[in-house]
Amino acid sequence: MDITRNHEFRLPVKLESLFKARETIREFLNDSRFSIEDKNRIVLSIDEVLANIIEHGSFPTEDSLIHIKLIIKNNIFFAEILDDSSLYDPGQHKPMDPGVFLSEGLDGGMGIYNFMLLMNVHHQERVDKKGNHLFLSYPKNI
Amino acid sequence: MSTPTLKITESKIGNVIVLALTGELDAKTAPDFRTQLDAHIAAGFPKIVCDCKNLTYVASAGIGVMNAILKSASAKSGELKLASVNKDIRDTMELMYFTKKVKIYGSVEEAVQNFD
Repeated sequence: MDITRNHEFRLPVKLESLFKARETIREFLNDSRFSIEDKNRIVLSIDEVLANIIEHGSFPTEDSLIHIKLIIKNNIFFAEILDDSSLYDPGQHKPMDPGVFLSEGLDGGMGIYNFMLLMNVHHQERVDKKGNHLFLSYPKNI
Repeated sequence: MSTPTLKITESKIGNVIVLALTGELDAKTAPDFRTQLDAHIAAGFPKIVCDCKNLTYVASAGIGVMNAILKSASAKSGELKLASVNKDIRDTMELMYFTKKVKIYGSVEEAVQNFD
């Protein structure tokens, strides 16, 4: 049976927002057929994407909002994330090598690695040319 | 709106600092965690155990702090060890191969006993 569920919400571009985002995604996934491990990995991936946008994005105002759309269709999770930051495609950024991360005792740089590892990621400019439109899906390579 | 929370409760067993983590360790809460760990190492206590029994979420930012502290503690002849790590937290650490580097124990007592 083809059951589609969706939910949309907006977040301020502040790190304090990440907790609310995770709570919202967990609630959305709650009744899905994803395993606990899958749910954890989906929450982790979206959290890492949002943290990356909030920490490194260049926004026109402090009141900017990130628009997040969550969809489950045929047991595949989809997310669309729209922001009004300057153009940035995480797929063009070489992810951190975990071996380097560990051997050099680095304190960051693994966020992009995590969500690129776990999810299909496609970036394009928003149709209104005002920022980024990121498409993500889980599991990877479906 | 809900706010991110990470409560850190400190105790000491001998010369080992035990930090009991409760809540979520993410990009927002990781800097305060780092500050606390750095302070203990600077004060001459580089042997640290993080009790993760009540840690419910960790992002790469949190693991990054632990990874960096492993290096700075080692430079002072210490180490960061973890205790009571749940399955979800361990899965996230395994994604980043962090479980190949950090030592994880079933309990705080076991972690403390395994310091030299």
